[in-house]
Amino acid sequence: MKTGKNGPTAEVEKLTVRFGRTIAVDEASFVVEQGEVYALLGRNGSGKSTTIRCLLGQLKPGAGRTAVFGWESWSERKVIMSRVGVAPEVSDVPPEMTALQVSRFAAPLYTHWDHQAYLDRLERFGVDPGRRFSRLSKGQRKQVGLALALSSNPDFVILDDPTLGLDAVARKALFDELIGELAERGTTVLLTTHDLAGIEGVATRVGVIREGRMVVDEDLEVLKAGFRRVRLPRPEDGGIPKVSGILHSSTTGDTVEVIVSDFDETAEMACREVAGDRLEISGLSLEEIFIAVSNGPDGGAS
Amino acid sequence: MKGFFAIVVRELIDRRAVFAAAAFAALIPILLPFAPNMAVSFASDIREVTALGMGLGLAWILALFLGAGMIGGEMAQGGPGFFFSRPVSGSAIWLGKVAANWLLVVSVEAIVVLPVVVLFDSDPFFALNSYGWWLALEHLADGPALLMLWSVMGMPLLLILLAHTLGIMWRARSAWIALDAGLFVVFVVTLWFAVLPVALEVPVAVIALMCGVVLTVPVVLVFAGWAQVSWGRTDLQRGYRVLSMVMWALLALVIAGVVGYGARIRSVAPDDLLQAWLVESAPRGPWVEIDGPTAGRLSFEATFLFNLESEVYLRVPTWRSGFTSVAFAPNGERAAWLKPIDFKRMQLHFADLGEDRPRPRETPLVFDSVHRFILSEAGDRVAVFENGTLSFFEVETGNLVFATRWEWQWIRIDRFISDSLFRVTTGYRASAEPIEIIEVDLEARTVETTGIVVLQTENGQEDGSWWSEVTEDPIRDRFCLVEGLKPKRRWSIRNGRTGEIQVDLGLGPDEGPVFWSEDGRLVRASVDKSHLAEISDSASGIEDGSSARDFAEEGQAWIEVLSVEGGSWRKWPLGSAVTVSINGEPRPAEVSVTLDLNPLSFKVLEPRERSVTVNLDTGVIREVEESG
Repeated sequence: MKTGKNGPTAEVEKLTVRFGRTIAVDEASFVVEQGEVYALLGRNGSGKSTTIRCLLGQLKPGAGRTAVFGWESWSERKVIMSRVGVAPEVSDVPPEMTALQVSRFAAPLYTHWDHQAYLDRLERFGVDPGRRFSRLSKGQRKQVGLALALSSNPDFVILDDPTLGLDAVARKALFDELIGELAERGTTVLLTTHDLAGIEGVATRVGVIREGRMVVDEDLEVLKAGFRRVRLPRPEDGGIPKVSGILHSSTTGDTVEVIVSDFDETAEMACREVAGDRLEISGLSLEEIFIAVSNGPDGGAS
Repeated sequence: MKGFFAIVVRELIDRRAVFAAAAFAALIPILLPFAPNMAVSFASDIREVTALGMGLGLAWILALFLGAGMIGGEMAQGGPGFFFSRPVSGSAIWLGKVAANWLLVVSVEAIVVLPVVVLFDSDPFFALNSYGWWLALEHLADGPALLMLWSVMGMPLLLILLAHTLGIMWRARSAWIALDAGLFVVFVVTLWFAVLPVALEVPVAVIALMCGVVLTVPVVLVFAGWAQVSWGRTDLQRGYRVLSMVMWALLALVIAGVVGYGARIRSVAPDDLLQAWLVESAPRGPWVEIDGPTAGRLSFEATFLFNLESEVYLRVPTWRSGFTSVAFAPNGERAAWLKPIDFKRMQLHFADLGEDRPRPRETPLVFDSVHRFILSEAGDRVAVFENGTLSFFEVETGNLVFATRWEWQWIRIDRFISDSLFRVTTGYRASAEPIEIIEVDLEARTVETTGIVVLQTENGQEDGSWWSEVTEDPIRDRFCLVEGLKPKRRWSIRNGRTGEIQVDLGLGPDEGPVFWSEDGRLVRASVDKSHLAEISDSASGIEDGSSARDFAEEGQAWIEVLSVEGGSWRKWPLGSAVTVSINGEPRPAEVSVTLDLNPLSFKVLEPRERSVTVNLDTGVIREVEESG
């Protein structure tokens, strides 16, 4: 059995999960290295949460494997969970428990449970520890979930859509907490989110899953460097430049706009041959990249 | 274990409201006697019954409620992920939840019942025992304590697990539930057919067997639930499939166990008998009927037809204690018995004992309540006493030969004189009512009283009782009648058909065995009672039972033989004894006799007996053994 001390924190290898006839995850593969903040992106129902449940050993893969710290997720779940903090998409704390009781329940299960840090976080979030979980607001529940995930001083934190349902202030507080934690301990993080702007300054690597298949698995900076929006005059023949990696193209009046995923010098030369000095090249935000990738090649062509 | 205890504590805290509700419920039995129109004199009973009824009732309902929600409810809300996201094993999650919910239920019972016990010094268990249905259940569980323990501890666990299982099945909304329903039907039907043959023959064993099944069901459900939580985890569909597969696999093992154990009970052989008792010998030939308790078969008492020469055997049903189920044909070539085919009806079976390996054969004859049945000389016909009717059938075909109403209750002798003539000698032994001799002619289809014997009714000893003994000569158509009152009874040999006296033997011993030898000589044994010790504080001396039982009443034992034609008795002393019995005629003209030397002196002396054989021609007595 591998202990994975020097290997990647999490591995997903050709993971396939089926629910009846529906393929939820289709041969997805990616790796989360130590110290990385990996943002797993995808539209609703794309397979993100299923992948995370497999990583956590809660769901048995139909095929492929998932491992955390080198241990198989399914067979070594208990060992893995002693070093992992989890904040699920829908908070699963029993509704009759108070935040304080949850801490008391969790304390004996972890070697490094920090009750005081837990209370401090709740205080920062403005959550009453004596209030029943069912009586907390949606945002407060998320915050208790995050506090729970971090208070065991985990080596690996998994956050499944932690900003879902949070207002802008709560989102900022959550990401501040996350960044603070990262700065403090260098914890590896795997998160899924729809708040792409929020994680743009946090994530170091991005994976995009579409209909169960991984379509992007790249360092964020490399990803952003490869994606370009190109504007050029519409050629007389009506065509677009012969450039590989065009994900999206649109024509407005006499201007053609294309989004290219692998934009490099060769692509730039090809475009300049067509547009000359009227060529405009600009970068994309993570959100724009995600939309382009999620729609797929020519998915939004018009 | 940290995980287990964390789960237990969490569950208890989560459902702490139950304790408060139970405490409130506990007030009801305490306060109920103060309600209007309540009989204050029965306050104690009212409290006891209410406390126990409420305790068990609330606990069982709560068990169903908690069981249905403890995993399935959380799954429906996405809850178990909370536990699976912690370093807690599936076993700890499952066992912790089961243990906590069981503790909750048992605590509710205690909270409701204990105040009544503590405050009012009551005993609700005793009160419960005084109700009829409870007594019936108590018998099934082999003791009230065991049943109470099951009701208080075991039943809540069973209900929690059952509710959990059904809850998972229901919430999964899977097509598998149809398969489960089908398998449940198969389980019940298989269990029924596995148990039925044993139930018909060994009801006691079935009670134990079914108790075993009931006790194994919680174990099966614990394993199935554990498998569901450990292997299904947060996946309800997968968990349900795992639960279903493990449950039915284990229940199949339970069924296999029941079938196997039932087969083991029913495949018992004479070698399995812990003790063998001779029930009856065939009138001729080497076959005997034996029975006795068996080893490792839940108190099962098995009965066999056993060939003393070849040791071939046939198992026959043990109907119930004291009921001889086998009838031999007088020529020893056929035996017949009744075999239960359901809880009401019995079917006549027979075997031809002359075959090398006799096998049981069915007849078409099925009866509801047979009191007695008798085979004809060769076993071709059978006479059956049933519900006020005497019927005669052909054994192999089941054809009815003749039937008549039968109004006599007591029967001393009944046998086929020939295939078409059946004779019954009636009368009750402890009565002075006349003996009637009745013949049924199957050819003429008539019922005729051929003789009436009026018993001697002169006054005898003051405390004497009416008594008459009829013993039939196996060779000649006659019987020996011993009648009258203590201390001396009148002995006579009488015509078997008319009851008329053939030989008047005068007065003889008032007790002791009467035996006809194979060559038709009458043999009797007796003891001249002389009390060797008389130690009693009471005025009534040795007749005082409590003192007399402590000491032997020994006397001179005798054996007497009468010639075939009658005449005088030849008498030989056997030595000192308390009672004497004649066991049979192991060799022609030689009878086996057992003398009990001091069977009533168990308080001060070791019981002893002595066996001898007596030659009826020479009077030579040979010691067989002496046991101490």
